[in-house]
Amino acid sequence: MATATHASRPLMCLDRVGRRIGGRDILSEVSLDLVPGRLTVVVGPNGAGKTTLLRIASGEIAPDRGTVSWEGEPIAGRPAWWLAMRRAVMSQSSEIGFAFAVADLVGLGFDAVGRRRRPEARRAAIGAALDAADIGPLAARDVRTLSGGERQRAHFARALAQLAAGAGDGARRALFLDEPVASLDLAHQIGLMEAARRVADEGVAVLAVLHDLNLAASFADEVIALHEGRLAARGEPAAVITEALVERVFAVTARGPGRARAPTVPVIAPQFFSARDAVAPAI
Amino acid sequence: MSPVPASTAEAAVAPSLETFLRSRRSRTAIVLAGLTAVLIVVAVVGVGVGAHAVAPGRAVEVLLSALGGATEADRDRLIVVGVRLPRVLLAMLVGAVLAVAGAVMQGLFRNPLADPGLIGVSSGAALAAAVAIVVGDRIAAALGTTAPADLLPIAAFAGALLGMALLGAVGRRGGRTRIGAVLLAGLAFAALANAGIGLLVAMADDRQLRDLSFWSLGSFAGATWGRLGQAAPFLIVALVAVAPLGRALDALAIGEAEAFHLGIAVERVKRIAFVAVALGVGAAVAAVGVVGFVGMVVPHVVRLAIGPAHRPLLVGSALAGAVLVVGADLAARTVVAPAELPIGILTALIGAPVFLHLVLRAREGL
Repeated sequence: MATATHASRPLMCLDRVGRRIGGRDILSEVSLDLVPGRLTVVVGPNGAGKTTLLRIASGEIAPDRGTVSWEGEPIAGRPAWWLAMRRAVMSQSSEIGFAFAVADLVGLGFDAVGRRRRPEARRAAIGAALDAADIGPLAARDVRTLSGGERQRAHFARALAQLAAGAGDGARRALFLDEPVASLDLAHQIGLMEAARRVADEGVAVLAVLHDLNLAASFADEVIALHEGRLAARGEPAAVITEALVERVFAVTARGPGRARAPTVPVIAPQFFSARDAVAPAI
Repeated sequence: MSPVPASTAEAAVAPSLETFLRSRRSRTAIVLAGLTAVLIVVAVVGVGVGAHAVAPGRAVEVLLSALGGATEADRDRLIVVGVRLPRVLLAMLVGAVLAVAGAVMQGLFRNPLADPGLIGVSSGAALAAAVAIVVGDRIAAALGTTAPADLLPIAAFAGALLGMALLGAVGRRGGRTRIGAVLLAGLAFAALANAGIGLLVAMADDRQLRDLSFWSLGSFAGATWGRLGQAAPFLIVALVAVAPLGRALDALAIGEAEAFHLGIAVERVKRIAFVAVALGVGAAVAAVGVVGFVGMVVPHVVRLAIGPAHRPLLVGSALAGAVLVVGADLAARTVVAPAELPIGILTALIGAPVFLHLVLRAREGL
């Protein structure tokens, strides 16, 4: 669990990372700290480099410039299992080749790092992950027959199970979520973000890419706005998600509720919105 | 899906997950035990049936006494242990390797239609064998001798490894094996090899044609202890090498990036799988020719019976592949006795309808 000392010391540091593909800078000079217990949300328009940033942070691809370190040690050259013990990743789209059941898929997450754990611990962790993702009743269903949103929740449960299996390492873990709510209905969007929030509250450093600024504002401890591969703004949600930033980064004129005037797109500013107001799925 | 209160969700979840895991486990145990039993029965019948029939009870007795080190040379013993046992053992190993290779390829390509032919192994072996049959014969004739008996298997094995190496080189870029590129290159390579074989067929005389067609459909007629001894090390190494890959193949089912996130050394797994499949299938093709349909159909059937998890799937495929090939060989040498049919005809005759049936029955499940 997160202690006071942990909470102040970053678990992971990205130092001025950059990535160039086909002569174009996908990402440049982005620095970022992931702190235990903190939920960091990355926002930005399509092609801003959000997914690239997440792939670099999760160790999937190496940055061309800059360094990624875990508790002060560079992660470059670390084997896959070393990373898997410490962080779980939910990618944007995952197709599945065969008729795996939801419980099998979630079990993959646990087995990735929890092979030596007792079968009861495995069952308990899978059950807890299924519940946290509100997908338990579909445990025996073929993943390929699920709707897009249900499949997304199954993959979220898989990531949670991997985190739970790695828990032997203490609270020094990270969770990466790439657009985890893209296909979810409103209630499940909030439910998943609340689950991510709870994971962070247990001491895990969480990094999520989101498109929905309302969700970002409601759940993030820190928001990072990317624009054309560069850091546009970072800080507390209320300080980052402003009408000026939305206008500059997303090229959309934003208004808080009550001030909305057609034909602009309303963005509900943080102070007007609370997850508690919505009917969240009880998870 | 509407939100569910926590208490109801828990009540509904716990038993359904438990029941699901338990029923999957017991089903797997039953299927694997059943396959083992069937394999033993088929093997015992296999060593007994033939021109000199040996009753199953007597066959078991002879096998046990041979295991115990008895050496008295009666007729049953000579035929069961000396002639039919190596044939049945080779059929078992070849069947197991082909089916497991199919399961591994399907897992790697995330495609239930993949088979070992996709990585150039079969094409390479077939082309090299055709060259050995047609060209080797002519060279030997020009030198005034006959081609050595081992030329064909050695050429086929070398061709299999060469085919795989070629495709591996095409599919690799920047230290990564690109599965899609390997797949497409495999198709191109197969077409080229077929063209080459066609050319050789056009050049071949009648006897060479007969050799070619027999070899391209597979036969265990040449199985001896010596042939078994040559092929078995490669076949066994291939089986042992892929045995620990089950969990990695499960992870690969959701994508290479996701498998990496789950801690799998993806490139290493792909390399081991390719080399093991090339060794195993190359040795199998070299020993008995091309036995079709086993690699594609067997993993399918087993997957439908026990689910897609690769650890039980690899075991089940090995057992079912052995049963299918031993059984098909049994039929190959009894249906038109005293003549023999090429075994590839029988595996296709059994495999294709089973496959069609599965496709029709589980259309959305593929």
